[in-house]
Amino acid sequence: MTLRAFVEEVADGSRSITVYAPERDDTLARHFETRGATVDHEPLPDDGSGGFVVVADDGEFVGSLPRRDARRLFSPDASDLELGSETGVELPMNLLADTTFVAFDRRKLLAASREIEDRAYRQGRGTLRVGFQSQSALASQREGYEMLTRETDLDVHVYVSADWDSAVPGATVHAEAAEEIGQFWLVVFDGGGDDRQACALLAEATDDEPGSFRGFWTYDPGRVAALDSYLAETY
Amino acid sequence: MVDGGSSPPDDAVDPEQSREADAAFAVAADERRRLVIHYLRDRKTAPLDELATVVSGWTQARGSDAKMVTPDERERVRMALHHVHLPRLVDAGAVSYDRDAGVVTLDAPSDLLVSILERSLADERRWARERARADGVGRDGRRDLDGRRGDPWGDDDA
Repeated sequence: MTLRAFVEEVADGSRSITVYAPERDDTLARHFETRGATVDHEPLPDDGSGGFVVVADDGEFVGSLPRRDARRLFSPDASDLELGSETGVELPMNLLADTTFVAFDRRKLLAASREIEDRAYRQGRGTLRVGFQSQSALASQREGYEMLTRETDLDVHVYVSADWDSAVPGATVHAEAAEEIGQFWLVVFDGGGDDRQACALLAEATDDEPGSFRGFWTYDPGRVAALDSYLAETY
Repeated sequence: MVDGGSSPPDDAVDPEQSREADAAFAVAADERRRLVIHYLRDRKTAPLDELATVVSGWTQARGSDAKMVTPDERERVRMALHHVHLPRLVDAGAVSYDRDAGVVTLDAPSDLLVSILERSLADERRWARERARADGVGRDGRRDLDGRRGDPWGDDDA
């Protein structure tokens, strides 16, 4: 197993998006499609509302939101980024959880990471594993993780490249020579005994587009547990 | 036509007509029933599940404080359609509902009901335009949807 294999596994998912609107919205369709989702259009009588967007998984309804808010599926707005502003599944981005994304930027990954850390903080126990792609990314988050270890009973594990200066008080630091450590942005929370709180994010910088990432985030307890034990056993 | 009466037929109160008017307005009084008919007039027939998705999503999109629709909320709409609204529409002769197959088909909505519904769509479009003008940029994101700001789904606001 490798971290990349986890991403490939999710890439086989079959989430589909249907836009119900008076007219075809090519801009919106393009944005979904460049992120690896398939998009259908269904005509809707024009009542001035602009219509809505439906996300389904294998034909099963996952959620919907107004088309005028659909960009929040990919680009969380300021209120989405506040800690605890919306709980877990209410974040519009989460309608696309368990699909692979491409072209996600740092800001979106940060929003998803914050949500996972926030869940871990509120749960106050369990194991949180985080991996950073650069020493500066770790530096900017160090205080936050120090606080997590100080104020909770969380067991925090930090994964970094072997050659980084990487002490995080209260956390277990794994300085690893393996290539994938330092390549992946990862945040994994095992739920602290509550499967409903289990969540994980795994992303890798893409070669073709600088500043964009490929990966997934998930609330599937089985998938989270598999990632958690892979990291525990391998490093 | 000469029938010897003192008032022209147009002004007569026809009990049949007024019953029909009452029925049409009663059907049109509920937003979910209006949305079902709007949608079916577009495509004639639809499964109950699809109507639940459409009515729940569309209702949120029409609200000013729009939120996501969860599977639970959609299920509540599905049950309300099944138990309350579709039977009302069947009684009014507007749709037929095959409960076993879970399929709803447009039947024969009265001309009056159709004109009430068309009028309400036109009014809503006009109100939406007026709101957009009053807000300057429209409701949240409307400006973006109109494409006046370049690529609205891009990350230029990061």
